[in-house]
Amino acid sequence: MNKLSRRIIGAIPVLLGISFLIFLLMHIAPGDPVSLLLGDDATPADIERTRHEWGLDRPLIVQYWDFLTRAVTGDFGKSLKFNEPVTKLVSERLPATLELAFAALCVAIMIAVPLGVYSAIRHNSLLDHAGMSVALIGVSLPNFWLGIMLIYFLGGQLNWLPVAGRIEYGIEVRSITGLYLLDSVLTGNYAAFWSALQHLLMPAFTLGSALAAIVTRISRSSVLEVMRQDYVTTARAKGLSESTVIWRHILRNALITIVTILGLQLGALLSGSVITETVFSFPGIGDLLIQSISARDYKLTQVLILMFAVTYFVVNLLVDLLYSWIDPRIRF
Amino acid sequence: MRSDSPAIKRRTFLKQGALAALGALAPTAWPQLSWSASKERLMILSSIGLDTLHPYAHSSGPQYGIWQHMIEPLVEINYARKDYYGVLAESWKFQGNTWVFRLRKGIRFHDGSPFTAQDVVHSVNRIRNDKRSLQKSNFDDLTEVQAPDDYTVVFTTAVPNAVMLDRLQNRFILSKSAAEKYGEDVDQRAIGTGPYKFVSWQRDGNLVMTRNDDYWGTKAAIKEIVLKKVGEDAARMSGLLAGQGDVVNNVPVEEIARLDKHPRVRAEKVEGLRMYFLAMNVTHKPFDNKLVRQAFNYAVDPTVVIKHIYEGNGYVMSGPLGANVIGYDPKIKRYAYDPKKAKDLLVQAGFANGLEVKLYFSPDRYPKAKEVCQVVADQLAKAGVKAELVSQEFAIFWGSDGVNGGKIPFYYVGRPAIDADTVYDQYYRSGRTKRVSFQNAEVDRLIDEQHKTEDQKKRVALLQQIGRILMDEAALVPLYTLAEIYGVARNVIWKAHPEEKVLAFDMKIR
Repeated sequence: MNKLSRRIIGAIPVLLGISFLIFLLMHIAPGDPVSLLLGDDATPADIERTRHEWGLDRPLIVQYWDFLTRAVTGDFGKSLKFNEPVTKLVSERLPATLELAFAALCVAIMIAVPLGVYSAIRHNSLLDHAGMSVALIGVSLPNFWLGIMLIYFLGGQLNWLPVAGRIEYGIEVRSITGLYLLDSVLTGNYAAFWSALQHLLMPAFTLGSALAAIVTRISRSSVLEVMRQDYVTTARAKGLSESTVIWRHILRNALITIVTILGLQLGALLSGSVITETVFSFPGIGDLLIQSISARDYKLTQVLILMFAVTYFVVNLLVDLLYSWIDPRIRF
Repeated sequence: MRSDSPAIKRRTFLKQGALAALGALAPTAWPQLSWSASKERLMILSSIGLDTLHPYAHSSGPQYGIWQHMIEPLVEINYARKDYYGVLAESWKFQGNTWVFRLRKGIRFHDGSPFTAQDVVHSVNRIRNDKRSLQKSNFDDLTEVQAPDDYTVVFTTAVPNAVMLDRLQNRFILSKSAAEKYGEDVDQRAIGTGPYKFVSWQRDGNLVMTRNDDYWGTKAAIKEIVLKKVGEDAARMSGLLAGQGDVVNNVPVEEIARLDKHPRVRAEKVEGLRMYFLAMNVTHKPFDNKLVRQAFNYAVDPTVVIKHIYEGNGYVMSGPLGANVIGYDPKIKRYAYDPKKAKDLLVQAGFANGLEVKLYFSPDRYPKAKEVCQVVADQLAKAGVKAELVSQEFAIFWGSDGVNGGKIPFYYVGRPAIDADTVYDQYYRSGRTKRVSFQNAEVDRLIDEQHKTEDQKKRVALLQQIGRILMDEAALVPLYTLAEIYGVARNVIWKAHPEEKVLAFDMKIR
């Protein structure tokens, strides 16, 4: 527990550093939110007046201090583009991205782990080669292209799945966690469940496919390595059934590597969500981040990137905790 | 020791149970994805979603087009006649420094409160004073707005302002009593007088509006309108073709043929208001030289761009304005494409060995900007001008380090306008902006004069005079306006609007 608190406290200066860096980079980057928002009709006088009214003409250090002192009270200010409190915008969107990332993770695990394990057990078989080839293709496909192809065939041609969005209009989900699938099950709203699932399938597959490819290869090599260990030979010599050997002895020991990769890749999933969400108009923080950077919406961008940093930190922490659960020899 | 086989094994139970549960749910619960447009409901898949319900916290045509379903302005333009007609205003009179508007009677807001002159005063003051307002510049010269009685509003300006109607377009009127009742929360409710009432909205999700059955004017034909943001072009087209949407905007030109062949949908086109041109900032060399600017005009042929890049979906500009704009002069002729003459002019200007320039553009803002600039660079090369292309993100291109800071000498830009006054004032009036830093005393005088001319015909004549000077001075290289292209279900009767607005209250179902 001591170690845990030390890690949480240690994250504070890192986050402060990140916030300062983003603040500085955003402000020194060329481009100005005011001339973008005021559009074609603005004159230099209008731009100056608005910059003054929004406090953007103050020295950078004053603006940063203002941001920081407000942030510690939980007030991150209002988005310049959307004219809403940043915390409201982020809290509306974060569950969508988390739901998408977890769904993509599930897709990856469901495809990759069985395929990787099977390929390892039957290594050098036809299925092994086929599986590894598919994995190579999966990791090489850019996910925006895969997304557009899915939209074209499954949405446009076959009309099986909706081309964009998160839920069908007219279907309300009572928010408990903000995760539509979970909330709809908790409230027994099955129409919402199916609609949310329909909207989630293509983005989750798009986002999960590259991860599935990586995890398939890692699972295969990890299982192959464990299979050669003495304790596996011993287990077989004791006369244990093959399924017990695979599930209890091989898979459990191979899991450490797989979990590490999954944990590291969860961060990549969040950044991958930026593209996937844009392609599918999926209203998560990735899509919001693109919009906020294009509009030079300083406050919103700052909070979103901090959000990504916090998520990376939490995921890494969870992975470490998972280690000790999977392998009791590891202690913090 | 294992016991004897039980009646049902655990695995079999789980497998069969899961299959049964899925089987029971799937056929009944899998939601329907497409409906045909009907009098009950129409789905618009739009490349741009609603950014905010606060109708003064934005300044872009597509946002105005969304709000306009629920909230109305005093006046609106008739593009065919190039003239304004009253929406909430019944009539108006312009004299000296005042504009007097008589308002329609018997109109009610969606919350039931009556529409009066106090609502207009309240709304105009919010546009002028609200910290979030991005529309203040429209009332820069307004000194006072008063309501002498419930149905009269008087706008007083510092100097006579003949373009007040242009400024009032897209300035929406909100209910004063609703603002008093709901406080800041009123900006989440969109309480207006429009033909549709606000139902619900998720940011970047669905905006749902229902018909206002108590509407004061012609009631809308379709009961419910859903606007769904679909940013990706391919997704919007797929959604339309699959029947998941009935109307889509921003159709890429390559998709027109596919839409027109489809049994359920068609492409709908209208000449847009955005005028594309090559801007030359005269504070930078060599654009301070009129001969060079004229040479560039002779060197560029927009018909090639329209034919090969936009597949014919554009309209060559013969002067500084598009044909839909108030102030357009059909008598103005553009410089004929003549690379040889361009070369000669450059020799006269002292560039016998040709010259090198950088052509800036923003691919994330204007469709196919890169391809257009490649063609322009190729045409300039034939006149001896080597143009290096510089692509910039719009935030950089448009900001104080770019166009608005006067830092870019030569660039490709698109600018929408309803009345030439705005575009002339911002680009060609001395000292107004740094976009091209053009200076001409006669143009300044004419801009001032038309600004206070009551008689619209005389005002248009003055605008046309400015147009002729600009062409003579080769202040810009006019290119084209483009078609606004929409995909529309065949059973929807609708004529597209030039102003990038998808107005569902104009639609009817066959």
